[in-house]
Amino acid sequence: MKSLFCLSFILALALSGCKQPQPADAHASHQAMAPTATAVATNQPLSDMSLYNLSSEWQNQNGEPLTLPQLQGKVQLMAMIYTSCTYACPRIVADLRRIEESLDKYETGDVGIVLVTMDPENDTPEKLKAFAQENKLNPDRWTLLTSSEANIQELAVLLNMKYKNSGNGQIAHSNIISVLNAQGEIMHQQQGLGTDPDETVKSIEALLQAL
Amino acid sequence: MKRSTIQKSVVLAALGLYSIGILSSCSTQTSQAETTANTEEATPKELPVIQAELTDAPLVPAPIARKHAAKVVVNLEVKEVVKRLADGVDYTFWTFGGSVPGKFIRIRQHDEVEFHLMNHPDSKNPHNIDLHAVTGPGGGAASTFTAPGHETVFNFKALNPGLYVYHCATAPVGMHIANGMYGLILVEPEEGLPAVDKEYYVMQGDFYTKGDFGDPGLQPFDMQKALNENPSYVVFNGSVGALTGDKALTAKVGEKVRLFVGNGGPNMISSFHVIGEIFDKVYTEGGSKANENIQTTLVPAGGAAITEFKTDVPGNYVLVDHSIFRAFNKGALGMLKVEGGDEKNIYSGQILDKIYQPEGSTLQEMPTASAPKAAVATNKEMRLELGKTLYAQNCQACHQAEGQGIKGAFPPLAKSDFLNTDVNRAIGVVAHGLEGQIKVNGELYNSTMPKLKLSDEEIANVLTFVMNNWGNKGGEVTPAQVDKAKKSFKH
Amino acid sequence: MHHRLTLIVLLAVFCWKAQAQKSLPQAMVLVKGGTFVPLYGGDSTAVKVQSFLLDVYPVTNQQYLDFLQKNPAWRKSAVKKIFADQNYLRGWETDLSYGPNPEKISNSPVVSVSWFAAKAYCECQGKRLATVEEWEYAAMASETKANAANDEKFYQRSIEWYSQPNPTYLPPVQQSFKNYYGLYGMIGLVWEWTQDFNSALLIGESRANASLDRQLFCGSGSSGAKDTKNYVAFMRYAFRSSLKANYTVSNLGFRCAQSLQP
Repeated sequence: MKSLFCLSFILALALSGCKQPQPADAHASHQAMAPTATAVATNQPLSDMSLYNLSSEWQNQNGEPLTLPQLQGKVQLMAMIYTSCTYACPRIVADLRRIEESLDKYETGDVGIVLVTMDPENDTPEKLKAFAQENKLNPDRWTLLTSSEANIQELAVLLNMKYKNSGNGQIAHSNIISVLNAQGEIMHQQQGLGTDPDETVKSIEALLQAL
Repeated sequence: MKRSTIQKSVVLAALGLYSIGILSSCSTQTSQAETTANTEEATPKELPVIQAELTDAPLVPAPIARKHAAKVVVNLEVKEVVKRLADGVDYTFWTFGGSVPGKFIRIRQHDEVEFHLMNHPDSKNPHNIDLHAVTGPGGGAASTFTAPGHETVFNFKALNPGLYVYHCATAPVGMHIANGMYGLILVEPEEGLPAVDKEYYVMQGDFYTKGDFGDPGLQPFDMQKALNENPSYVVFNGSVGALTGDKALTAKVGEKVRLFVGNGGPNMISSFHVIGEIFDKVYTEGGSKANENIQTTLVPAGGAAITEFKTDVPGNYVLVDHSIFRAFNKGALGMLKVEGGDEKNIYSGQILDKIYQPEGSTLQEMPTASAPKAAVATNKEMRLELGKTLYAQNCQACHQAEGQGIKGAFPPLAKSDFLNTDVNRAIGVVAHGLEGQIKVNGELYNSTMPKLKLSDEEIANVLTFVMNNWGNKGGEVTPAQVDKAKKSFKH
Repeated sequence: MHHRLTLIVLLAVFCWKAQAQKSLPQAMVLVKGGTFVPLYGGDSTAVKVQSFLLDVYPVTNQQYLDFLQKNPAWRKSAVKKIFADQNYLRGWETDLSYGPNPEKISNSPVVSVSWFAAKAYCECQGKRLATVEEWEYAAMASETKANAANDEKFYQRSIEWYSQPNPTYLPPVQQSFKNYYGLYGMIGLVWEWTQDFNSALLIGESRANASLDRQLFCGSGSSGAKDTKNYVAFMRYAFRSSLKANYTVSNLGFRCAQSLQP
């Protein structure tokens, strides 16, 4: 009898208590102020392989809360950085800008660029905002995100990122730019630094034609 | 290629999806262009898709008959299996396709290969594949790092013809290779290889077991022996005896045989040799240039060679690593059985026997043949007994079991006038050897009899044995007689 | 946030009680912290590991079934492919039955679970997965020594296990090798998920891009390693780096860890 009671109690709590994949659109109601929210017109059920199945909560460079399904509806370029990184990360940003330039003809509403920090301890929304301004990142195009370390790790493994915090302020990490379609599925990945963006641009253009 | 191997499959999957997108958009473009020029693009792009035929050693897929490039799909499955390494000895092999060496892959230069690497769900370890025929990072290893129960795919174009080794390159790479993860891929040149009658696949590898050679049971990998490069086994095609007995390679007299020889290592370099054959051609190191008339060809660890020869004479031809202790003590032996009619003009020359003759004398210097503590005969019976053994050890190879000799090369001892006329002269020949022409039973012989390292006692025994057999005149030769005769018959 | 933590703690207590009826209790032991030299470490050779708690046994089929009873989203038919590939719980007959011979494998480690699933399970117990360094540190122990890194026999036994293909039925967890800390089956049973399995190939020095290209194939696998003779550790790192978070492998299970209260 007692265990039955336990069980039902647990069932009642399970959804909120245990972290688990749940339909992300369940969260979609309380997020109206996020800048990208306007693009989320089509709130289709997410496909199995969509990164937006992650139900984690994030903050953008303006300190506004955000969930990943809000990134739906446009092609997103996603990469991971940290702002105190002096070597690889500026080059990733440069690579992204190179891609951005070749996509000038497309609306910011069609292609977004998302930078996710690997260093939530230091990269507060304020820091991310300062970084965006220093690098003159167009706020209509670029979203910078932070969350808890665990949430970041979940997203990182889905982006096939490998990284390790060496504890001395440096993070060893792989360099990947991922192209996500409007539903949040990885369609293409560009690896390394200074890679010829041709293929990546082509893949984005193909996705845009499908929009 | 800055990123690690493992997410390649997703990238590929993504690329696949992506290319579907591209293709559909392309197709609309071509349909517009069709009206103007549709011939140029269509034909060269569309390669026919072919499923690669893979074979287990010693078999080789059939030569490639097509005269054009193709898209070749290769499906290779990695399995970890317990199999026989030698009689009574098992080993856990890690394999490409279920046995060692891995499946033989045969493609043509300029082919585009779609390579699928499947790692069986029951595997304990992740694996990948580095094909030396691939131009690109890791030879494919960068794109095929595959967890158990998963499959990775990558494409490559075969730019260079040749015979190439492939192997697993997952850390710790030495252990993956030492457990049998290697095989051969042949990239035929556009014009193909010259036609031959038989093609076989032979691959050497060294194994490191906790127990010594022959210690029974399931033997674990011995890391220290591997580090010391001190193998317990050096074998062809994955086990002792994989190419002997009823598993020997076969050919008929007059056939052209081509051996695709590989060496997986991980440590040993092979001095590949076929006893009694000369390779008419060796494509050294698996490359395009053929060297001719080769006795022994070096096959590096992680390398290959193509050897070709015509079988002229029937018999058994032994494949060895001529680092010969490996052949006789560690398993590096195989056999090619050649059947057919005798080729008298080559066979009866007995040239090979002549060459081996000096080796016979060195054998006789070995302690077993002239044991210093040999028994001393006290009567004629004993002398005959001991003499019989001495004869078998020292004389029989040339003079034959019944003393009949070999006409033209080795004079007979049976009913021998040379022997029966003067026993003391015979003692001198045994003690000091003989060079120059002699006449025995009316036949001239002009070869060399080596000086035998026998004691007086032994010479007495062996000659007593000879004198009392095969129609010779009998009697007993004593050590004292030997001592005396030795001094008077010197040359 | 605090509210949620309390819920997790409450939940963990109830989860444990509910399970105690059917399965082995999932007891934990203290792994006393210290320093060690991991195969792939940071700039300094020795790494400090804080004391932590680790499950005595890997999670069993029965325990995982209990979890599925309460968490339908992780059942075979419900889970999204991005969180667990199509081999998830391969061998399970249905969502809530783990096979034709349940008595044989009820106490065997659950395998063919993804990183996301393992993580969710542990979070549901108020725990987490161990980090690579924690796991490697705890796995250095033989029966008698906390650090058996130089124990030849222990090493040889480990390498033998890693060479063997999987048995048809994995043995019950309590029958496997018990080490110095009282942990069962750290070696000789199944591979285990770790929290930061995706950190395996990287070593410090993030400025030199080339050093990030250390992939575990050919010689380059050994270029960043501290002890190129430690094949056992190589095999574990190689295994981890072959994984993605939604992968499920038929000899890959997990156990949970917990930090000590500060």
